[in-house]
Amino acid sequence: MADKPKVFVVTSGKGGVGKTTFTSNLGCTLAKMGERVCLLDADIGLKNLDVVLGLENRIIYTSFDVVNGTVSAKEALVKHKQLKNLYLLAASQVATKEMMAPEDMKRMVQEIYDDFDYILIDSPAGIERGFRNSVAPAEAAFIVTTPEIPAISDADRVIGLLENYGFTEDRMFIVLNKFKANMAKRGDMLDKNDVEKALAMRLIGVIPDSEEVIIATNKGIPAVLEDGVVIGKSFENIVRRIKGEDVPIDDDLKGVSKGFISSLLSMFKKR
Amino acid sequence: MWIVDIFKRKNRQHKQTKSPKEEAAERLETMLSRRREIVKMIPVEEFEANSEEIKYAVIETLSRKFNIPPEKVRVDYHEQNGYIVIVTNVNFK
Repeated sequence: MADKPKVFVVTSGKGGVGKTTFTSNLGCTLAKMGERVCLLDADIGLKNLDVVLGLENRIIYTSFDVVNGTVSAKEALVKHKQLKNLYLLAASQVATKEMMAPEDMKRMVQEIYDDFDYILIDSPAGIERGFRNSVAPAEAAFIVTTPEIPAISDADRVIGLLENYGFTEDRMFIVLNKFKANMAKRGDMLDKNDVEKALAMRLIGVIPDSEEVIIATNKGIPAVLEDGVVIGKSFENIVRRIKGEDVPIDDDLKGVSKGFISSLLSMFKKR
Repeated sequence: MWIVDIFKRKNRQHKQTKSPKEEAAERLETMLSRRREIVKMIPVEEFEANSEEIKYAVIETLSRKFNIPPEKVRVDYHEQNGYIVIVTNVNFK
């Protein structure tokens, strides 16, 4: 294993916390910073990463074709429309997770390992075969959670499983997604300290809840590629932190709580 | 009547002793601390080498926990999707 991990699995246990959105936005942020990035969709049968990236019409081969030996992993890669150093290895919609084994995933990642600076694997929800396939080739893990009890509880379970797979604490990064700063401020929602305390781990980043993500996802453009989006700062900070920089976690939420005037101005901007 | 509703709502809010955040943090703490106490993952190799000792340790823990003789605890195990599932059957009668 390399000193600095480059194969990351994005997992959560619970579904709907934003793993695919996180994977696509982090991949785009890394690529924007000049890194060579490959996104690997491991959610076989329920794949969505191609849709979020707006590449659904460009998929010719999937990871299933690679496992079957029809094409090599490099031949199955699809280049992003805007970012020329960002690639996707799509998942099949007709195959099932059981048709692939952890060893297949390891071989596939090994084939492209030297061609990229970062490989991000988008894991399916759950802790069954799909999860084990995704984790097998990974050197580090992002565990995405939201500030709700079921998501945190599942994240805790996933941390336990990852520990059993040999992941050490310095290779597991907790991401708090869909965070509503105003609700936390009012005492209506768990805040980042509660999540850190419950999971007994430090957060690598906090991503504020944002309508921009929904709009961008429906357009097939990851939100960080749009100008002036709130979550862009969080993703930049996460990248800086995984590269070893010391960036305060409070930086992720700067500019989230807008004043009355700026809210009014942004309303006019949208029109 | 809406004005009465406002007072009613205010009253209800006053009655709540804990904020939703405090309540959630407390529930989370209870759930996770309980799970940490119970869940233990044993690698298959370790389990295969020491299955009888592990079985005995489970019987001993349960018999102590429920204050019953060890003969009343039955332990069985099987492999499922790469994990060892330990099934315990406790006879309280």
